Amino acid sequence: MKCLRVRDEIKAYVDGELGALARWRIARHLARCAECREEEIAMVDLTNKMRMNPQMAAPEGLRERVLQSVRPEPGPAVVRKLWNRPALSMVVSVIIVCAVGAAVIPTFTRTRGSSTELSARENAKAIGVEMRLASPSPPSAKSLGAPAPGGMAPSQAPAPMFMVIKTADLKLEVERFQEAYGEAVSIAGSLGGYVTDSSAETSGPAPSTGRMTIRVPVREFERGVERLSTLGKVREKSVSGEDVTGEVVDLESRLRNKRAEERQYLQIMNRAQRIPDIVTVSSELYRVRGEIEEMEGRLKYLKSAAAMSTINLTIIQKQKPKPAASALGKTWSSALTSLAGTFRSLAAAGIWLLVYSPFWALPIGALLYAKRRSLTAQHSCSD
Amino acid sequence: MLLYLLTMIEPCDERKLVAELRAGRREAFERLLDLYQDKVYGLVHRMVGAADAEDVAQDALVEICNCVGSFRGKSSLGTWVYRVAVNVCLEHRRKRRPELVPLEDDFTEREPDPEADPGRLIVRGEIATEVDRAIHALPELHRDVVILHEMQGLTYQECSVVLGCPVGTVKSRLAKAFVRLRSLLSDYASEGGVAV
Repeated sequence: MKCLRVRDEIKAYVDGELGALARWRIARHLARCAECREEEIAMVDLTNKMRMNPQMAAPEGLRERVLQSVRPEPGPAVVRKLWNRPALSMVVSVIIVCAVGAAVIPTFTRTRGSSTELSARENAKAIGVEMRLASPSPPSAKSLGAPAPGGMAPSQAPAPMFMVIKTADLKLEVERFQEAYGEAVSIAGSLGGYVTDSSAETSGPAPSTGRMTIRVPVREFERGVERLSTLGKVREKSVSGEDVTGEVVDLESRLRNKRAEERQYLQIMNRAQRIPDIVTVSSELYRVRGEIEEMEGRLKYLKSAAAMSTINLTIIQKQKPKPAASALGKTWSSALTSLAGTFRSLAAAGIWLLVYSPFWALPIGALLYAKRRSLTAQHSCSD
Repeated sequence: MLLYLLTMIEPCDERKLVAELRAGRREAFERLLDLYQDKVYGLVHRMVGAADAEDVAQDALVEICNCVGSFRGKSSLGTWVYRVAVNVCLEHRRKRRPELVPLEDDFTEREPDPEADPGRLIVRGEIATEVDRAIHALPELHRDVVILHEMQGLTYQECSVVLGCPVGTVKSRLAKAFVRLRSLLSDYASEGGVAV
């Protein structure tokens, strides 16, 4: 240890403020260096002189003046002192978090329960259970209209039956395309349904695909979807229902009114004598008949669509799986990729350092040079 | 140093004393003054000089008594007391006029008395006076740390808490202060005193 450094530490050594290792090093140096020993002795002597000063006594009356002037401020509350304790703060925080969680989680659970009910309802719908999601719209007053002569009163209209046009879209992945295709046609027939249109496509290495539209009686809809789903792995499945009850009721009501109107025009025609009247009545009859035909057509379509549900089936042949890469292979390739990336990053960093070298190389070089000169200029004695 | 050690209070007594001080008990304040009024006065006397020592010491002790509620126990009560006292002294220094009241005898200009008997200087009181003069000649930063460590007996760690600086800074200032003190007292030593 060099004398210069020892002399910087000698005061702390004398005061006993050094660590064990530093104290041992200095003691070892002092055992070998007479000059530094003299410094130590001088320091001890000077320190003793410093501490020779007697304790000063406070002047008379200071104590009473201080006591008269004391107006102590309120001390810190125990709560604040307790709050400063990290352990207690942590415990309190944990308790608060638990209390908040206990209050929030049950609410969250109830919300999830409602969602579960909704999901169950949707699932029931998906398997074809008819659920009354919306109450059927009552026959509108307009459709009933004012009771015309010869027309039926609303109270005498028949009770509406709920009519829903059900449609399902099903996409299946199958092992053997032809077999599944034929099986689907067979299922349609067994349920009292039929295939309205179909198409199949097979080209080279691409997997075979086929599409068909199946109509089945509404009462067999759920069973049809279920049996078709067993042909392969279901990739997509959606079921929708259009409630046309309101429209049907409305159409029937309007149809009754139109027919009543037609009968009235016919009675007028039988009594008409003049040619202009006959022409006018004929024109009205023609119009009313057109409207009646249009309504009957629409009503027939809706009833037919509600009676026979539609299942749009898509069949895809399963692709042959590619041989999976081994775990070791994946690790090797990812390691190589990472190594290449590391080299690129290092090269980029080196280029940046090289370009900016005038800004960092010169100051560091100057600092090292100055430090080296300083070290060589220091006085040192044998250690 | 021995006097300082004798006046140290046990930690459990310290807590009890602090609790009583916060409760506002007069006996507790009296006990506090018994423990620290002399030491605070000595510190203040050396830091600000004899002229203002009494007033500043009173201010410091009043401040200590009034603010004992803010003592959080992170350090010992004694360290906290010194910290408050030092802050009051530093505030006083900032407020007073720039020109300092000169000593009766400027130590640097003192001419050695060729007829003085060196043996008389060995009297303890005169040594202390010389030491006081030498300390007073130090820069304020060095003087404060010498007063706290050498006169008041605080450790390096306690000095760093009181002065609000790192322990290394305390060590460095003390080392430089003693180099300067040795230079200042070398004249005295050359006249027959003990070698410094």
